[in-house]
Amino acid sequence: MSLLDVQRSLVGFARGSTREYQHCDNLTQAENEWLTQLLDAPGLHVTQQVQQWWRVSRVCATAPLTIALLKRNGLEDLLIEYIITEPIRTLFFAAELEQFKTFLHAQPQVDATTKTLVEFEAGIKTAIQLAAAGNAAQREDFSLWLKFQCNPPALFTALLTGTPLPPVEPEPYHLEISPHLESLWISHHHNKIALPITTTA
Amino acid sequence: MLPQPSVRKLGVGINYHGYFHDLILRHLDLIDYIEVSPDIFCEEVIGSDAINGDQRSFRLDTSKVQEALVIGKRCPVVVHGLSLSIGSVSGWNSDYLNILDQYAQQQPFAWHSEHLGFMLVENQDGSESHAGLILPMQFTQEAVDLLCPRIQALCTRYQAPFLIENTTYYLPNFPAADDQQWDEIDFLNQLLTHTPCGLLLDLYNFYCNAINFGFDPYAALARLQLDRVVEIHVAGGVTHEGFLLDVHSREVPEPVWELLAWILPKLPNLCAITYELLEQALLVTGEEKIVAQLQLCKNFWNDYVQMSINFTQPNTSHLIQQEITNVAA
Repeated sequence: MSLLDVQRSLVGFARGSTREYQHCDNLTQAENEWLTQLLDAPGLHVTQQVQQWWRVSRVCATAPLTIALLKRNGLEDLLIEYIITEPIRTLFFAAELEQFKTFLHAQPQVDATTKTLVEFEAGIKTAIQLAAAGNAAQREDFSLWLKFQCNPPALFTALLTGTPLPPVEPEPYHLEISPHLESLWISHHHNKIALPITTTA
Repeated sequence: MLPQPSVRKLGVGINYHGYFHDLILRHLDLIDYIEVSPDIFCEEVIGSDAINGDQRSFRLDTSKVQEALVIGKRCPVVVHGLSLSIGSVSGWNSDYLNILDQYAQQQPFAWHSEHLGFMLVENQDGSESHAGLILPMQFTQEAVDLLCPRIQALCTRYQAPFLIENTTYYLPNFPAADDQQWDEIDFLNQLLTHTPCGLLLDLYNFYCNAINFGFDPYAALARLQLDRVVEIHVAGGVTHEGFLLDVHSREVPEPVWELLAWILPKLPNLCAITYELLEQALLVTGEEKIVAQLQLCKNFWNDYVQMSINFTQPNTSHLIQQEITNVAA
């Protein structure tokens, strides 16, 4: 069925790949010529950019703290690298964030705080969904503990306000994320509890 | 219990989003209905399967549904899907329909609609790839044969009418053999001829295509089965690299209002005009301008209700001719 091969080729093109097209052997000569011409069509570049913009906006909307910290560390180009190297898989926010989180965790130049921060933002997203899903069994299954080397509320505030980051401390802060918590997360340090001052979605 | 059939003149509406919740409640004198995309109540969970690749499922956020139901008690609802991928050769996204089934149990809707295109494809190794946006169908008989049974199925699934929506595309269409050289209008007419669905005519999408590919939208629309138009979308966007983009980020451009004024007397079965806006645009556009756009839609709607249906000859707007010239330059 040539329509299937045409769709495989077009989806590949939209993702910046010609591999799918090269593996299609049911295309007619006319379809082959048309698809070859598309590779040089200005509309293909626009098509690729549109889906990339949506992806960038999804990451920025769901991981604002992580993006802010990447910028502080001069690593904002990693977002572009993510878009270019990691294939699109979804139109949805949480799934995009999960993919971005996996990507960041695989980057050796990304520090532990950034990796923990993206874990935090993805965890909050999951907790929000589970708290709203009304499925008690799913809620029971989810609880996430993260270790920060600086005061988490102070870190979030600094990233949101553009002020200096809090100092690294010898004793870590333990932060729990759970859909059972009223504010979805809570931070512990030296047996002291810090409640969220703002909520992140 | 699924909703009963109801096709009635609704008036003027806006696409629903949580960000618009309060705005809608404040302007129910102007907003006659809301257009809901059940997809926005969901998040997608993607699991990896070594054999089958990505395994997709939707997780419904019942709190978001409940929020929309509040407005659904105050005004009618129509459904506008985003994620069905109705034109995928390898099969549509049935999880979207599962979500719509759940939503239909809670919220009656006057009709439901979906974009004409595809996003998902099955690769040769059985894995699945996502385009990240809706891609256009080829305007061919093979595509008509694929789509018609699916549209037929959607027309009966909810005992509420189903509408197909024309989309914006940036890729030049496949040049078929001379004896089957269809354009977008021919293709839409084929679907309308062979199925009982209605048409959601997105005037802005159509205007984008006319500008981007340099054809006369008036002459083209004059060939469309206009008696099948049930709903109209109007929106605005931006131009990028010579292409007018379907991003719903701006006010409706004047040539689209001109198209609306021209086409309304030719639509005997029109039931609704929807102003579409990206949720993020609320902060940029502001409530005042959004309300002004809705008021313009309302003025057109009131004129439409008053006017007698009178078919006229197509007449190309000088503004659209000028826009085509500008983009070409």
